[in-house]
Amino acid sequence: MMEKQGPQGNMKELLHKYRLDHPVAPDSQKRMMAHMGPMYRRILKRTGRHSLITGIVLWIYFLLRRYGIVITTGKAIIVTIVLLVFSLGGILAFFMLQHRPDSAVNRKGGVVDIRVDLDSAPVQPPRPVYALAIEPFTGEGVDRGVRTAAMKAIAGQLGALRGGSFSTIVWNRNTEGMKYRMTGSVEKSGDEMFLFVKVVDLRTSSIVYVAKEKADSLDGIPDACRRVSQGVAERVR
Amino acid sequence: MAASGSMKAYRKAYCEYYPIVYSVLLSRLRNGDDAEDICQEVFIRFLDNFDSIESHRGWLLKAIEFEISNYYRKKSSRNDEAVDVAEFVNDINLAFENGFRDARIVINEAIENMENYDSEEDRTLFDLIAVYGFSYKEAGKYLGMTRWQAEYRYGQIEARIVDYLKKMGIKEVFDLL
Repeated sequence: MMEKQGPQGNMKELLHKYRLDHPVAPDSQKRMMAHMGPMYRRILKRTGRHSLITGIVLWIYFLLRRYGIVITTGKAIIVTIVLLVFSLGGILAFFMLQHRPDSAVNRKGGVVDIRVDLDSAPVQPPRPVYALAIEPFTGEGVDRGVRTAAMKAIAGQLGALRGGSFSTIVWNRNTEGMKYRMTGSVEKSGDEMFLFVKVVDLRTSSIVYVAKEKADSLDGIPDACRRVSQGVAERVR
Repeated sequence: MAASGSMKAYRKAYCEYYPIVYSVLLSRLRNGDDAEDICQEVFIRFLDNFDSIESHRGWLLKAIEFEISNYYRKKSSRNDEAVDVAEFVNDINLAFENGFRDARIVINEAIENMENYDSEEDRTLFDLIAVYGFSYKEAGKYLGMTRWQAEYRYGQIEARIVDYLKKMGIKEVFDLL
């Protein structure tokens, strides 16, 4: 953009005509301004007057001057102190957050993210703790419904004897967190039926209880289950 | 060496004369790197002698001439070529052109006459804008002025030089153009 000339005439044009001007190219002018501060610091270094603090103060002083903001060195020192205090405060805050004894703090790439998305987090009720896991009963020659009925009968009776949190049927055979595991089967041999039950201590793998109950017919299975339940309730503590 | 108390004055002088020294060296040497190196050497010597210097501008211009002479002397010894140092000195007679000589001398006297300036800072402002082609804004940055302050002061300097030229018998500056 052309700048307005003075009212007295075009002095620049006059100097140019009589070769009294030496215009500096715009690129050189930019370079000149950019090198003003660094050169001053080099001069101080060469004459042994430079220090770290002086360098920071001068860097701020010439940086502001480059953008047309002229301040005194006293103000430059104040600006430096303020910047240093904020920088140290920021570093201290970052350090304290990094070493905060809060396991819920999530650190990702150095940025502490303590937000918790309550909507997306699945709410899981606390899982009840059972002592005895009853696995689905097996058996040859016996209808699956009979096996399941025997298993549920034993589970129900144990609940009545030892409380609802004593045992549970584990359809997926997951015994995690449980102390004992019950396996069983209902077998048919001729007209007679047999109920086999075994309880194992999961920590020691030792057999805690084992029983073989005989039933003359299908109608005798409930009584056999009752006896097994009583035996387990007494032996398993 | 300058005492610590005079460092403030040195920094002010550095900011005021740095663009002039750099521009003079650039116009003479036409090499940015060499101009920067010599500029630094000049200001180191300026700092070493700061307390005993009366006229900053005069001392710096003499120092520039000295450093330029050294520069060409070293250059000529390296290149094994004879370089006429005087060729690079800003002698107005070397730039003489037929018919312009008298007017050029008068204009140069008007520019060099310190009575046309309120201060050395004014002289620097005039040089930066009129001689070295800086904008008001850029010149103001070096001297701690706003664009408008630089433009106003430059206008005053220009008016005084025009008045001086009138006293020297030149009725209208436009007559010279």
